[in-house]
Amino acid sequence: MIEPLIILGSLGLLFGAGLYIASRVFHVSVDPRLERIESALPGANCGACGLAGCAGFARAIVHGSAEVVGCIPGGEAVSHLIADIMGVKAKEVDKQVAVLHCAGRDVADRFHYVGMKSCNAAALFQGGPKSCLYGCIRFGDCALACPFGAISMIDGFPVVDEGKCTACGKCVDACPKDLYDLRSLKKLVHVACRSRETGKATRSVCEVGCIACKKCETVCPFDAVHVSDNLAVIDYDKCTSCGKCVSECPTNTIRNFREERKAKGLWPVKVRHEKNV
Amino acid sequence: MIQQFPKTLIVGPGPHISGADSTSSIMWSVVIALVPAFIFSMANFGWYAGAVTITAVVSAVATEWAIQRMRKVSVTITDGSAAVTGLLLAFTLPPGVPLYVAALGSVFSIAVAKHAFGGLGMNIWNPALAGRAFISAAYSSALFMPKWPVLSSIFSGDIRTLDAVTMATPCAILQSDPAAIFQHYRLWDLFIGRIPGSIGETSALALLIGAAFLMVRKIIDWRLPVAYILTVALLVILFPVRAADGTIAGFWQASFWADPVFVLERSLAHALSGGLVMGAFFMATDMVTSPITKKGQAMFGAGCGVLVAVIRVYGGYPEGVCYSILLMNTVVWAIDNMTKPKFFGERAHA
Amino acid sequence: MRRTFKKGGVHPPDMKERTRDVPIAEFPAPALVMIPMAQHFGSPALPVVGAGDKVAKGQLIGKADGRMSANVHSSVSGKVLRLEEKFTPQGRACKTVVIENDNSGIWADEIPCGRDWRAMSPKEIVEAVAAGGVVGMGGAAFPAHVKLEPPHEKPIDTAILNGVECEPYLTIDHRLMVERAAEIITGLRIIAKAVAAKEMVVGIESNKPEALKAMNAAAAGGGIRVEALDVKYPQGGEKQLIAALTGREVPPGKLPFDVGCVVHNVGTAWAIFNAVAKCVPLIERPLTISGDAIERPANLMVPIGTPVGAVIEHCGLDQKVKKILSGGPMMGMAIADPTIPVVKGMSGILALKKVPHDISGPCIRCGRCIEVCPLGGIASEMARAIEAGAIVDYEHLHVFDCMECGSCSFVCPAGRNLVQYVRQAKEEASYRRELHRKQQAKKQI
Repeated sequence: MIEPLIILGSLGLLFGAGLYIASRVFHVSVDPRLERIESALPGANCGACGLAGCAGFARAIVHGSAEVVGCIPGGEAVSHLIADIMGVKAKEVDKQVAVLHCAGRDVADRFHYVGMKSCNAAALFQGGPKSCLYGCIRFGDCALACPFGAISMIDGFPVVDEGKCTACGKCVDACPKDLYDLRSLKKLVHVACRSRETGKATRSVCEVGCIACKKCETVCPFDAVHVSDNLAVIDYDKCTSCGKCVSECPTNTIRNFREERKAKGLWPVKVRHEKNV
Repeated sequence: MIQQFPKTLIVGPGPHISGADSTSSIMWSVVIALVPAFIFSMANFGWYAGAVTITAVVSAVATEWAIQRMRKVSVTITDGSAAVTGLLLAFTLPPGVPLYVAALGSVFSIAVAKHAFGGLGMNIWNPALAGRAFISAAYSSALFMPKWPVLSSIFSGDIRTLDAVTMATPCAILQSDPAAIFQHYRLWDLFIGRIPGSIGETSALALLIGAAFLMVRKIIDWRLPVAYILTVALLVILFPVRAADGTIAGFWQASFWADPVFVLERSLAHALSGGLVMGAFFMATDMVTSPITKKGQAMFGAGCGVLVAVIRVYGGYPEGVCYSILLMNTVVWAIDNMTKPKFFGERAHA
Repeated sequence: MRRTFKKGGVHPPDMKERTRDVPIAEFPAPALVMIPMAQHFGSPALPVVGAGDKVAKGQLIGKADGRMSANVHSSVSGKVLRLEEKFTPQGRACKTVVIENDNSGIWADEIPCGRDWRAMSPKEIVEAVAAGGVVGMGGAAFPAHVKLEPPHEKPIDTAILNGVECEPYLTIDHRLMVERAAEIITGLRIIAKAVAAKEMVVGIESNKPEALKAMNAAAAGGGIRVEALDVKYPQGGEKQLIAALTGREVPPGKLPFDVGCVVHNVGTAWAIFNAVAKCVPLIERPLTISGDAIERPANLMVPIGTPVGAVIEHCGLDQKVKKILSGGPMMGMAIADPTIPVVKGMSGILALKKVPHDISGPCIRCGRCIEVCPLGGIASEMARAIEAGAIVDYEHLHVFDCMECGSCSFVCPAGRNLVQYVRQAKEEASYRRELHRKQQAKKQI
């Protein structure tokens, strides 16, 4: 009875001592700030900062080659934490979200696609199966790419949960039709279409596509909307989210996100003040 | 004016023609190949053996359906893979096993050994054998009997009643007293299968008919089963054994070769007894749990053979087919790594 | 025993009977041709005409953009209507010149010409081939002049002509060899002169006895070896053909140059002959139109830029058609738009009623993809790595060395789209390289 206890106990002691010595002998001294920054980061390793994971970003900050506001998913809160650790002042971060520029839920197929159920794969076959060559292919590469679960396929169409979105930009990269943009949460009016086809051609395949009627252009008091190459494009430097173009748009292509964001408590955007250290 | 194309055209990646076989055609071919053994099992053990088999198959298919519904993946019970598992599991069980044991074994095979690892194609261990291993642990009394029944009245009798006589299986005799094997069984009986044993394993003849079909259909390759059985046959000759009087008998002694015909016949008896033929042609060749290259499959077969010989000659079990395959399943990844094909033109590099 | 390549390969059904003995007929130029600028491997050509310009047959309309590119010529005489973005059969969109045919058929200046190729230097030959916009006509559409200019440190000893045509249904190389054997053989001599190769070999699969006879007759006494090869797909792959004919293996990532070989398709040899000896650029190409949904299968000489719908109408289409393909059934691309134009690399148009079911189940590790891979790749592992996004494994699994012959998908019992996985991985890798390049450029600014 006593032998196993002695054997196991001494084995434990032996290995413990080995581990202790190893940790001492092979000890690598690190900047203590590195560890603190790493623990402040979200740890999703999403790569939105452009570096290899959160550890890489932390190293870059300590090294001075990255900005303290570089962590996009972490947003303001994390920037301030890092700024505290580094003893510098953080600038105000404008919270951004991904906006989908397509609303073509009812666009029909031109042909029956078989093969990998991936937008990027399907897009290589003459632009994909949808009649609108500019619109969503609906296989959900964006939802798969989103590391934060902010995009879900609802009835086979992607929907962004702006509360979860951290503007990491993975969906922007993933979409073969380039349908996502990162926009400030303060900007409420967006064009839900990317079609550069003529109005007639767009109309024939999609009820909510931009038909380039230019009504928005006429009605905008701030000269912020322009139809170029058959598509209404908003200049967000000028846009005040007044919503005039939204009510004028005959196809409901230009949409106002105000009510939706209000309901979720995302709007009005709470402006946090800069923190001085 | 140019020809318009119908809107129903299919667009997708090539190739736009395909070979004859599909997963389900392969699985159903295996089922067909097991039919001779199934018929023989009822000839040998009566109607109850058939009832055990059908219970196991139905239970396996039902479990597959339930789990696939639960996992919210598409239900693929018609592809035959669950039926194969149920069939093979039943074939490894004694003919008098209670029906609920067979059913539970199938549930374990499909639910734990297959779907817990991710379903078809992802399992590491042969599901049927894992199911058998489960039964041997959970219902060992149903599996480990000193005497096994064999039926005198073909097809009609009930194996659980007294018209069955019981005797030790060939494997048990080969382990305990190899010299006496031919006092109990003739080689011809071992080949035909009028011997006690598990439901599907006794008749080498019926199994070989099915195996020949699979080889003609190019579903199994000869290398694995041949490597497996030859290794066993060779090693049972080469392994020295300790006789009752404590002396060690081995192939290097002249006395060992006093009756060379007996030595070869005993080796053949090893090849034909127990589940070796069934294991070699139907269990070890399971595509999912065996190596992917031909070379790797031969290595796998030889490895199984070594384990069977060790277990049979020196081990505590009279039979080692089940565990030999399960153990080799475990190292398939290593065999795959060792037998990667050389890439085109790589030799020119070095 | 006849020769073939050693490793892997499959035997798809031949399906060539319906067009094997149909002579190549001239297809009249349509009222409208749409000529894409990207018909070849490499950078797209730069258009040198604009809307409203008058063009003559054979006139240059797209200039090669760099060395790895090819000239594009008008296949009809007429007026340029517009330049637009259009899909090519390869599935991508590119700049396309739309020309209205005036049916006058007037050739551009100095075409055709008569010149003695024997008097031309290798450099002049390469220039003539480049000027003629000749690209590989077997499918990959690799610019032909690049293959005629081996680097100095890599001497070429063997010029090989590829008359294998291992894709089912296609018979166009076969017909070309039967009908224009002399021109093809001359093309081979031109190629051999350009690369200074001593040996000349033609590889033809033994299921084309007529072509073998015609080519043997044309090559008689000229130091050219015409070899009958065992039938096996993908023998028409460059590396497989070299292995079958010379026993040499081109290492991964290397080119036929590296083992002293240059391989051209018989159609390319014919186009090289036209460009060098007759100054005629590549503006038309022979096509096989076949498949069970085609009512009158044919071999046709079709002007580049002709919409496939027009060609199919000429041959009659069964409306029960399920798939329309550009190229063969193994490596061809499915298309759905009748206005997609015929391009230089297109070897046939197939319309099929019977297509495989769209089953795509899990891998059952049967190992058949490994057995048939002519390169010794492990398609099942590649697909698994690609599915998991395990980019680190791509290199040692040779994902980028795959030539996408489709043998693995052909035999896969689970119906997995193995080739598509590989194509997707390559696509993603090039996208990432591009992204990286952009980021680097941004950093420098």
